[in-house]
Amino acid sequence: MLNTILQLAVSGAALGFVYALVGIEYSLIWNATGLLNFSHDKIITLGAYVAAGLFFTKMGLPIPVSFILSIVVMILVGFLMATVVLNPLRKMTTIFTIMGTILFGKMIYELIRLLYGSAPFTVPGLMTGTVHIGSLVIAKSNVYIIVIAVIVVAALQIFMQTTKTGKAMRCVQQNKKASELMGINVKQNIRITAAISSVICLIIGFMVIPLYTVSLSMASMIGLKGFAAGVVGGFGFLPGCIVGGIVVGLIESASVLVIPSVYKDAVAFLVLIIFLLIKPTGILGKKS
Amino acid sequence: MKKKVLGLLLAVSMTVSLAACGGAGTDTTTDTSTADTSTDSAETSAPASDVLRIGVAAGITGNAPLEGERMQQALEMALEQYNESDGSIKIELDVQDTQGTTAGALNAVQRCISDGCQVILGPHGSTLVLAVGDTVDAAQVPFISGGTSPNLLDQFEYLYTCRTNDTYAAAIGAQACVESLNATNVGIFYCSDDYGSGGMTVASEYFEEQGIPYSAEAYNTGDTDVSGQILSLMNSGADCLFVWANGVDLAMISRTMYQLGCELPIVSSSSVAVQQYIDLCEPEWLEGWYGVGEYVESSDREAVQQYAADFLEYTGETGELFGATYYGAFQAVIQAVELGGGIDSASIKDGLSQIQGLEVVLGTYNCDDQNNLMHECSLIQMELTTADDGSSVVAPVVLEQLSVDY
Repeated sequence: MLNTILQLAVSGAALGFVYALVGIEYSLIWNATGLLNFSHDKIITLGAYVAAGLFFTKMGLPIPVSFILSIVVMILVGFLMATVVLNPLRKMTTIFTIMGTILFGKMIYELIRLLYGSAPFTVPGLMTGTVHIGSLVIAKSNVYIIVIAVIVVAALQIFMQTTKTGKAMRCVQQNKKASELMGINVKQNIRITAAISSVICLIIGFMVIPLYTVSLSMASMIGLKGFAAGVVGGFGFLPGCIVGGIVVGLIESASVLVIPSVYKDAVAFLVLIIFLLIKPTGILGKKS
Repeated sequence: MKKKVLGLLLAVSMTVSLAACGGAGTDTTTDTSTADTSTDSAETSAPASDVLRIGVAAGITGNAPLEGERMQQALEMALEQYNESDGSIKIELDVQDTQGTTAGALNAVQRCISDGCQVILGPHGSTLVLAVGDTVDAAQVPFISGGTSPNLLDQFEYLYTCRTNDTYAAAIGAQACVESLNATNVGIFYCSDDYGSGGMTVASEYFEEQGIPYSAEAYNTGDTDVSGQILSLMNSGADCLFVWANGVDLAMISRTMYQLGCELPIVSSSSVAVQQYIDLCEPEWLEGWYGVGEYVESSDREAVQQYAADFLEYTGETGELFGATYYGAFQAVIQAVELGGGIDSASIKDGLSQIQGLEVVLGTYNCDDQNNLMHECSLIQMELTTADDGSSVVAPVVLEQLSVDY
């Protein structure tokens, strides 16, 4: 029994870190623009297709080179999203901004479908294999996900705390109007934020290839659960997203021990509703 | 002013986007005299009385778009071949996207009906069939689907099924667990949708009849982590696993089992023999798996070999189950027109009910009193072999070809 619990804890933690990164993405865009970006799942999918589909499979480049080139592409995608959606819409009413991000995602989805077709595919040998610790069997993909996610989160925190751009992003998060008055270029700031968000999408998309394969629907569920993670941890607060992600991942994974596994998906959303009712600011969120 | 312009632009782009990804249909019209194929936008006008308009409700977008794409490709190939070899009937394909959803399927068949289609192929999947059955019955248009759930039997007067029903396929799988693998305690792992639940019901009834204890765990379509369920089954004392899952989930399930060190013998649904899903797995994940196969390219049947070669030439892709299913359904329609003596819906329905001994890719169509056309499948095993380039590949090998009366 203990072995099973540990096994579930590892896979739950790995999924939790994926949700945490998605929650961070939501928070970055929310903090920079005040918009909820509902195209995250499509951008994650795009990241996976660009890295695995374009550079690795079609062009035959090694995985590290494919990944680096994909970062460049995704930065451009982030700039594009900021230029055509986030910056023009940030002062409009909520319904238009939601429509804008959904449409952007739809267009990405159709673009992927037209360029790559509908066939799912995978990257053979990517993060496969297992690690044995006693009787515990841990998939290497889970280990990689946890390690990469921790590195991304740490790098993001260092960037936000120590660099001029990161500090400007935090200023914009606190008060956009005051930031503009103090000489911060808010539009440029949003472009950089969107680029960072897109790169994180690429990392998520690449990390989950061994779990989901590369397909058009690979990120639809993690997009929703990442949002739940953000709310549970404290929306807009990056450490909160990490805590929220891990909590959602662990609860979801452990739920199969006590309830029929078919209800596992519902657990994340049940947790979301409970938090919205009891503590809408999330675990680490502060009252405004 | 700027806000108004942006709002207008958004509204327009949303309309265009939704039109592009949702409801677009295509007509593939073939002039029998020239055998030219052209694709135009669908129009809602009724076809000319000498034209057989075949509605195609295919999931071209949605969760499993490849199934719809292969279905469309196979039907277009079938139409082209028909026109080259015979062409006595002028045929149009009216392709509508179900988006893999019940609402989308309903829209697709309604569009086919309003377009005047005399027969509809699809939608694929039992859940979608259950959603559209009443509508198609009310329109009195026969429709042929690859849905395999036992729940479809005797449900709809105008429904014909062209794949082996789960009642039989799952029974074969369950039987293999007991008779071929000597299982004394079975773990059932199934998808919670209609397909998986149908297989689970049949298998559990069989195990109960045989006095074999079993435990069951389910997953939902789109789940990404099933380690909890697999661990639960491994710890249940099972000495054999019966896996009734959809193909898109096969890679996730087989990877999890392999990584968790599951060494129990596994009997799977037909997905395990579908090349497009095999390609998503590392060879060692599937090595030794048993399965209930429908389309097995290594089969020595001539119809299979011919279809595989034709499909590869026509599309550049490997042949697979979904295309082969509806390729056969197209042949059934042609046969039905000959047997029924006309291209109106009533004649086609009459003809479909008379079909006996029609050799198609998946086997031989013999229509029974429940409108099932197919009564065959094979027990297969996945074997590890070496490809020409020296790499390891896994491929299904037919152990036994089986047929049954329901």
